[in-house]
Amino acid sequence: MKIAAINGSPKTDGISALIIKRMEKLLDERIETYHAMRLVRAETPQETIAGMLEADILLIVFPLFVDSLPSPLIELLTRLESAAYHGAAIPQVFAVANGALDAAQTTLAIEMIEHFTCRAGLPWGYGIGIGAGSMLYNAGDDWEKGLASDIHHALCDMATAIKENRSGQNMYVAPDFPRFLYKTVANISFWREAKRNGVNNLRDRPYINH
Amino acid sequence: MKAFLDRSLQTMLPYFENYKGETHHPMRYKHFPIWIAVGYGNVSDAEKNTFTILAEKNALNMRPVKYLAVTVRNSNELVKETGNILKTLEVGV
Repeated sequence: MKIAAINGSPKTDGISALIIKRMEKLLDERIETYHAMRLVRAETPQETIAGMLEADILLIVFPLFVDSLPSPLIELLTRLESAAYHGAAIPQVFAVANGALDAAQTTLAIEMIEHFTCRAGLPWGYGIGIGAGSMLYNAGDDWEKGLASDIHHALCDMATAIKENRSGQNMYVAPDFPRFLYKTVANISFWREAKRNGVNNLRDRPYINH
Repeated sequence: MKAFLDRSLQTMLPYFENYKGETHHPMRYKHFPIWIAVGYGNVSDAEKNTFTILAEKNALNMRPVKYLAVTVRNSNELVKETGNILKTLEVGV
């Protein structure tokens, strides 16, 4: 089975990359990963775009940006749609969206991937929407137990669906972690990140007239 | 277009708060302009529905004084929606 993945994150080593690696482990198959931002920034040959469609499975993993897909991923999917329209290859598409606090906020983004598959004429597998995905940085290597266990089981189910060549219902999961604690940890990390980048006041209003 | 939206995130603060029953980021500024989203093209009803809900979600994030989301398939449909767009632009309506 030939599996291709699109990493829709601007980061090459973020949560999307972690999820693709995890799927590679669960599937026990090599996944050819394409980085959306790199592909759309470079003059990517049409053959490369078309080559992605030669896979049996296309796994699209991305962070939620403003309730939607990151802009480089949208551009890449537009190119893929055009290539799929002219080609004969039809990989089944699965998606994993990594959202903010509430997993349900990824619903629209998963819908958008489903719309893409309709337009491109590709069979739709299903999608997983993950809430508070940034907590996966703290999940360690063993996702089977602890805060990432629900996400682990959801990814296991998707790996099984891929192996059995079947579709499924979209599902939404989040780490087993108290919401108030997530917000506290996130607020501290925002402040630290700002300091590290030379920003002293996160509530600053550079355009004060508004 | 989406790149512009992605980069508009700095109009919000990074922190979290509950707003209208959902978790959102607080606004950095007190005012955000009227938000009118017009989608055009030959789209399915499902795509139209996704666009409309997305525009509403964007409005929840940006918190404009007023917002309107419309989708049109051709210029005739745009003409029909012009009244709604102008009405949304009217101050105080």
